[in-house]
Amino acid sequence: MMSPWLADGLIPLAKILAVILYPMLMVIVMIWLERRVVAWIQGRVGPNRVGYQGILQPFADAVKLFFKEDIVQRRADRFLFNISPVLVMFSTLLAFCFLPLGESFRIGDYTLNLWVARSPVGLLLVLGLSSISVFGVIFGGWASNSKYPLLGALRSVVQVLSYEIPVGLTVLTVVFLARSMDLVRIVERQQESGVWYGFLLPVSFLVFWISAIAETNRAPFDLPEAESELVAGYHTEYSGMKFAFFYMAEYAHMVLASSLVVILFFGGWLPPFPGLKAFAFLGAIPGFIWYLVKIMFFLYLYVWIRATFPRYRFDSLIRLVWKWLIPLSLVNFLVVVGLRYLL
Amino acid sequence: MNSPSPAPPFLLAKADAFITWAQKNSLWPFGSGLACCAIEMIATAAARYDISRFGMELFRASPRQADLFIVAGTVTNKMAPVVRRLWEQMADPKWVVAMGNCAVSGGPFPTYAVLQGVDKVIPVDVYISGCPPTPQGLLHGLITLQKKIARGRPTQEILNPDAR
Amino acid sequence: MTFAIFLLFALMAVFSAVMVITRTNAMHSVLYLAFTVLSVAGVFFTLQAEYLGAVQILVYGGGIVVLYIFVIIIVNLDEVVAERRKLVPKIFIFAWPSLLALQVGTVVFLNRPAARPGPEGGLEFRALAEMLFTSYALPFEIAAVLLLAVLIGAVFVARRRLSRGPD
Repeated sequence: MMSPWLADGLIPLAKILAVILYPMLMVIVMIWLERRVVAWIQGRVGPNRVGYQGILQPFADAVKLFFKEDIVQRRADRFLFNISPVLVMFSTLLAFCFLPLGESFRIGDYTLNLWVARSPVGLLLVLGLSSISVFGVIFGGWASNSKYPLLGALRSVVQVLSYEIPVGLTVLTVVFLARSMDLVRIVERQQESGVWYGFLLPVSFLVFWISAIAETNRAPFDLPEAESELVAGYHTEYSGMKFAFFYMAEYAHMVLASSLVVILFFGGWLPPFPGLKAFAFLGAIPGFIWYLVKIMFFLYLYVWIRATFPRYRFDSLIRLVWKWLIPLSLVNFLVVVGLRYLL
Repeated sequence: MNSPSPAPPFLLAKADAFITWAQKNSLWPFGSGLACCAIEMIATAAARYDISRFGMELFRASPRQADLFIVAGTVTNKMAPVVRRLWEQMADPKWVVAMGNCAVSGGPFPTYAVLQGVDKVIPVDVYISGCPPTPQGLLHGLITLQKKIARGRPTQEILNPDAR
Repeated sequence: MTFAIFLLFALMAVFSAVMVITRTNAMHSVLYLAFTVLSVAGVFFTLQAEYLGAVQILVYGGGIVVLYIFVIIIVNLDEVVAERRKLVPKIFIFAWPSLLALQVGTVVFLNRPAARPGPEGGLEFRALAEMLFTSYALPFEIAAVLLLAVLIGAVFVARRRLSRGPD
């Protein structure tokens, strides 16, 4: 028996804490993973002095950045300069509220939902919130009153706006198959149909993944912060904790994109091989663990891609999206709709 | 730091230890090289010597985000104002390593065009001699710098910033 | 509880809308415009119009406001000379919105419709689509034609200036 104040007071409070702590924890793991994996791919060792195998390295970085001087140049627009890291962080963390972490399970007579908010248009909301994080990038770049941040911000606008189109078009195919924009419902539909949409819609998955990398400003599409041309892009003038906010928000955005890919295309918290009797024991592992494992795989893929591919030139970046990805996703959408009605 | 000051209270000492632990383990160098010493600096970051073991592989392109200025190479008189300006753009707390004989004292160039030691324009924490210093030499210098940072008292600077 | 949240979002929307028109810095105005858009989305959510709220965030927040910012950055605002307005247009500027507000207020307060409960189990896309394509088909198509006209006009304006330019 669960007392009402626990169900109505404590658990929502715990969820609020969790929705902030979970992305932060993933960010810390991701930063450590990236530095170790990139080092490993390049034949180096990577951070291994702080804590076991350097696992405390992100903590050391965060503490150091916290105690660093906070510089605001005299010519900067103070209001926008201060508010943009908050905007980036806020929109990304808000999107995590709509991501389910697993199916709901029962403790006694109480049903614990592993999500903060479930909405029939959850998918649209997550996409919308992740796209408004570009505000922080633009305002930050403009408010710095310096040429490299401004150029980085302009690049970021063009890039994010362009790559939102293939994201929308490919997400549409998933929504069309699942007949719902509810993220929980999409996973349930994949359970019912017995096949994950990533295998049903490989073109959608590829286009979505490429666009997700571009939307999170990651290599090989990290032009808004290309070091060889733009110093550090839109956050060139930021120091200390404000820079850390941009840095952490970028990684949180990657976690968000990976979670979306897992939910839309790889069955969220479902165990693999649903049809086979021989692998039925995999279902004994909680869905939350499967979900984390899948997310970690895509985060690893982010790092792998970063360590493998050189950076795109800006015109080829735009050509890729307007001449290849958008027509491809349009044709893909028509083919999916056509096949759905023919078969 | 040279004048002997009274031992700080227990909590502040713990805070000092914590902050300096973070600072010495996440020294992000500023990605700048002035001359041939920069090649050895790059070699230090590459596979065999691997500066990233100490958490120092994040060479920041922007001085605002860097903690450590490795002055790697000859500082000419033309370049000196730029070096000074970059150092001023870095956010406190910041450290400087003079790498190589040129940055230490002008090295083999006692001429009108070369600054005789970068400590004439910016304060230097660690000097590394050599022409150029080997990657081992640079790593030794960086570890020496870590020891120096560990002796620091950041809480004192935070509590009375005017005392610096 | 819902009413309190509604009030919060509504007040935020009104406050930031006022800030949009009172800021002298165009960039600040756009930031407050974004806040307005997001607060209106919040108002939609408290009214259980979740689809509308999500579209508001995605299209207005993520698309249109970002384009505004882009235009403001590209156009050098120093070259834009503030035009001097005479007294009559000034009165007009204040009279027009207040008349509009009066009218909206009258409509809202005189025939206050009974609040209808939202559909059970969230929102029905099928119902929304059917409504859009049957009873509201004509306004929908007219809006589409309007957008097309704007698009053609934009292309026309941009092309003419390009051909007259020195390069």
